Amino acid sequence: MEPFNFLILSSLLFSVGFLGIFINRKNLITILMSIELMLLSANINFIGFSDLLGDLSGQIFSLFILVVAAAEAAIGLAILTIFFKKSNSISVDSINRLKG
Amino acid sequence: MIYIPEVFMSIGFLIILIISVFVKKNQNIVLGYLSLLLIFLTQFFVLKDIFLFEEIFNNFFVIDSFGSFLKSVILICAGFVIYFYIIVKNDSSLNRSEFSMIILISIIGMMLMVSSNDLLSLFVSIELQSLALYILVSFSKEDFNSSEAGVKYFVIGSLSTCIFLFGSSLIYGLVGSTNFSEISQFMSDQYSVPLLLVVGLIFILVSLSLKISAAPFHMWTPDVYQGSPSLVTAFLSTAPKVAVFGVLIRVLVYPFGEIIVDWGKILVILSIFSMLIGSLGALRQDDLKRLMAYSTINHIGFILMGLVPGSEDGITAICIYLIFYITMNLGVFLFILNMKRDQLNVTKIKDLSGLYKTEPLIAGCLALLFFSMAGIPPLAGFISKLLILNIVIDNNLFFLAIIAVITSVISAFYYIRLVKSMFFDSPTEELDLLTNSQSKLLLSIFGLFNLSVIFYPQFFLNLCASITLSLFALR
Repeated sequence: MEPFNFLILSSLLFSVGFLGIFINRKNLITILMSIELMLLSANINFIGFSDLLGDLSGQIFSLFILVVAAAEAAIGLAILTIFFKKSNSISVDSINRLKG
Repeated sequence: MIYIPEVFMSIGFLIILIISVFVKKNQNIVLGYLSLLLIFLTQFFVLKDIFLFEEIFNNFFVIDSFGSFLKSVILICAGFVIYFYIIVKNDSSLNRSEFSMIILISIIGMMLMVSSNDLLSLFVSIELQSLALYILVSFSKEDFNSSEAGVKYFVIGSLSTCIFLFGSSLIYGLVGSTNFSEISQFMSDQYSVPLLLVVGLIFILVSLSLKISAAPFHMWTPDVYQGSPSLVTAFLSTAPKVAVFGVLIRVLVYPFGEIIVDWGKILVILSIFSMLIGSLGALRQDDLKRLMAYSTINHIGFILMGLVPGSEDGITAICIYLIFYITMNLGVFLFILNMKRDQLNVTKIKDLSGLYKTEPLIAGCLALLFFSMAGIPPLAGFISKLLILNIVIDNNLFFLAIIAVITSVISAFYYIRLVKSMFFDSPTEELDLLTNSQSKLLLSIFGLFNLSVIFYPQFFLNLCASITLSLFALR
């Protein structure tokens, strides 16, 4: 099972990110970090498989993911800034106005 | 030049961006009209090549009539939304020139989505549309709810992206390519389908159901629908749903068509949950936009049901359902946009009471739309529900059909409650509608369309049947 070790790493990273979104009750920035972690776990998978298969397209895919992750982080931070201006807090518990 | 609509749209968008610098007065209105013009011209290019079939850009995209048809539907939705933006000026926080342009970006993303033939191009175009939608949802700087909805939508959307990527990485590792044709080739060569491939498909399905708000993944929908500006909600509940359904159909039918046994079960579960939650959740809502969110979930469950057999008839019925669903939704949201009291936008259900006494025409059209959503016989919603149920019963999925009918009855209850409140309740406080003649006219056109479809259903049937043929043509 030597060549598949990266799958364990990426699955762990993905789970950490996933749990980070749902367990964390303190900080919205942590959610952004968790999202980044999950994107990178997919990257590790792509690069590992690309090495394993001797096929370049996985690495190209991972470059695209990096670009999109940067754009997503930029927009996410912008939205967080607007939210912070209104509520003066970035805790997850402050997102509670809309419910029904 | 084969990829004309999207290229034209992108270049036109850049030109409008340049023009926006030189427009000094009424910037948002002028740019709205320009975007409308661009959408019209793009619509022409889409319809011109609607029967063309071609695989382009090294198989990254495919042009077929199914994709072109969905592109045209998406353009129609966006055209209506931008037209609403021009005629109904009730939300001053949207009066910025970027609004119609961000809608244009998201349409480009959606048009690329429905024609993508590779997981990489699919991922990039899904991102293009969702990044634009995150901005649209949190567009209103003055409204606290809008930014809160933006945060929620952003987190859920990014989560969906991550899940999609993880799933496609698994599929890539197994198949050695991200192209749909090669995945399909791999499937047909395989004697038994490897488990990892099914896991990857489940990841992709979960991500797409987060985008269409199918039921176990629907939690964000009511909050985002309520919080975002009404115009954005109108856009959010129509065009992206069509695009994601196009992607869902293309992915499930073409590369993963061989393992229909596996994804069929998942779709059954998704649609049962959607129909139940969509009908039961709406019962205790008092906000019209929240109620529309649950009604969307209910409709999504219905549409997913048509995909379970994965057959040509089912997809034809889905296309018809999507067209009618859009007209109903746009009509109701056009009314919600016009609701106003004391200079404030209101969206409560009790604000509807006694509408018939003040505005009989609008109340009548709105009642038609609500009845159509409930599926009352002569209206458009009935025809689409009938077609889907017909497909389901043809494929011996009786329990699904029974659940669909029961939930349809439950959902009829809350639509009829709305109608009752409009016609028979005495008005508590006068609702001053922004009655401009264009929105009255449009609302009556939507109502009339829903009423008159019963006389020419064959047109839609033939159209959608000839469209779906291209999906199943031998490649």
